[in-house]
Amino acid sequence: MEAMCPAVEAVNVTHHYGARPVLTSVSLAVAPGELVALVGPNGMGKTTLLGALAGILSPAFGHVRIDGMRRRESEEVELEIRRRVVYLPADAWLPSGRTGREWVLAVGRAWGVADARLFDHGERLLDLFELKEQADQPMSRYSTGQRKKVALCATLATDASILLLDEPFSGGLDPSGILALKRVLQRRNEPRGGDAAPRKPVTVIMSTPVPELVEELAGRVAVINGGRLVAVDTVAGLRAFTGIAGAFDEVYERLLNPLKQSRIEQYFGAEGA
Amino acid sequence: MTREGTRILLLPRMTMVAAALYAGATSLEWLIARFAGVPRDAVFSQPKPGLFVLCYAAVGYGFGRVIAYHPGYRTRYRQWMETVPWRPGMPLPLGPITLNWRDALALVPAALLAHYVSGGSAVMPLLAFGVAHLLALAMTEGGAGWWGYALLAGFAGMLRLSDYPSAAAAALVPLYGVALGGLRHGLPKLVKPPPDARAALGALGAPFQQLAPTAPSKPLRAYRAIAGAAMVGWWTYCVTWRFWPATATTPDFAILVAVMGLGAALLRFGVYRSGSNPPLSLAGRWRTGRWLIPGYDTVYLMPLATFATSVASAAALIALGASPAASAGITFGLTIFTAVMLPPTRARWLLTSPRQIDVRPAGGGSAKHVKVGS
Repeated sequence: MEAMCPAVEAVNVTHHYGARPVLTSVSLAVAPGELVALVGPNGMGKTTLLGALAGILSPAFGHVRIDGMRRRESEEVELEIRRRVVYLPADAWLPSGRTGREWVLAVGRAWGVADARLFDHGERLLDLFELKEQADQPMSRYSTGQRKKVALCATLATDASILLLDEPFSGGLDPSGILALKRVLQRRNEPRGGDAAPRKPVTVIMSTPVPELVEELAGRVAVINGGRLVAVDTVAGLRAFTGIAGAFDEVYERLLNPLKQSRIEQYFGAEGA
Repeated sequence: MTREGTRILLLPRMTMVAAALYAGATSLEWLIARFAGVPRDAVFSQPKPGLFVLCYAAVGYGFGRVIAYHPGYRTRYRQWMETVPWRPGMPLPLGPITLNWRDALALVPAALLAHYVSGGSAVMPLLAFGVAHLLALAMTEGGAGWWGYALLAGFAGMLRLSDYPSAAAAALVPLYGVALGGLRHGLPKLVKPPPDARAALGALGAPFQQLAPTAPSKPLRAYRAIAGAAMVGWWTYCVTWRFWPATATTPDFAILVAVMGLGAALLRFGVYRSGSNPPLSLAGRWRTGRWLIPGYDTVYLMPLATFATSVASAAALIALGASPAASAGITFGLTIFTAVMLPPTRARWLLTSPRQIDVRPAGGGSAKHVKVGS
């Protein structure tokens, strides 16, 4: 029964800060195991939508369901949802006095990961993100990129089946970190050495301003503009919809600024004439 | 005396300082009386400065006697004890917390000096010592629970007996028995603490702390709320009985009740509201016409109900002719009970209300955190 329902579902989510609308009737269903990229201009509602899905915000209207359970319906349901979801915002705060290793383990424990699994997985994550040398130093000494890496390690150490990531590739991540994260996201549903039992498919919703990453990673793309979902489809579907076979940033621009290309052409045409 | 004996005599330096202060204060009394050419009793009413010094020294000794040897006050001692094969029933490595014959070496001279030199009651320094000693035991983690509860109730009872110092001092004997029970019960737990999942988590940073799948707080059982409210009421009654001036008027009492009710209401509001923001600002409510957000607004309504309970209870009791002390005790007890028991529970409100979670770092603030992306 549970396998048939979406892993994440936003139903007519509307939210406003004060009287200013930020999200207007946003509905989105994400299947288990899917990776959906949220794209759109700055300040148009991506982070707010992720916040609503993560439970940071309570939408003014509409609701959010996780694995069929409605957020904030009851204490038990909310705690069960929290076990399944982890949210990494672009501006997370890390306790500066703790070492990276301690913190990754603490976050994993908070999400109920067994120690045996957590110690092994945490170590492999720190290794993957090249943090082993710094792992036993207080996080106050970490560089900007290292903070981002350790935050990603902690997020992944939770073994949550739903990852909500706000701009995971930004925040000073170096090329090696970007590659590591890309591979983790691409291979998220492959069985891993440390898994004691078959895992639930990992669902990811992430926001990113980088069109290349969208093409490479996303099963579907949700384009958000002015607080509304403009389009939700696969990259191929969006290409077909816009009639653009070129780079994804052109598709993206066509969806968000349909007149942009004609204005560019007009500009150069006028100059040539 | 052996080296160990000297050590267990406790705080020898402080004892010497106290003796010097007492000698100084008593000499001052003699000198001033001599210059004035009158007897000491004509210059100083009781308690004289010397007796003050004795009582303060007894208080210091009472606290020090526990703090010096109780693992609950000495983290490194406790941590060390957790690594050695100490078991409940064995003597404590640094010395006993409970009273023994060596304490008489300090307390009997203090009582004799109070009576024969300072001209006061010999009971005074013993009472001061006993209260401080038991208070220190009650405040340790090992003295907590129902034993600590009984001790706290007993202290308030001593306040009620304060017109009869001998009776108050006699009350120390059963209270000491309670403290010993608490010590026997609490010390093993303290030295071998049970694993506490929440403590083990420590600071998780934001938003991991706020979104972790752990219940924000344990629900408060009704019997605990009743016990807590009864304790607050009992203390309020005893303190008001002892200190409430006979000349006070009904408006004075109304102010007292208002302050107590407001304090309880603000406490409830602060405990619930901490770490949350409203789903809509006042301006937002005005513009959208959503004046009431039922799931959220209980955070305002329940403190108001708490305050109303306080005022209504006091008015009813005064109308029934109850004394100010009894009215204050019952009212504040009832107010606290209302503040902690009115639904929803804190955990339920935090997990299910349409609040906006404040994702700034909790417990320590941003000074103890570093931000990702900056």
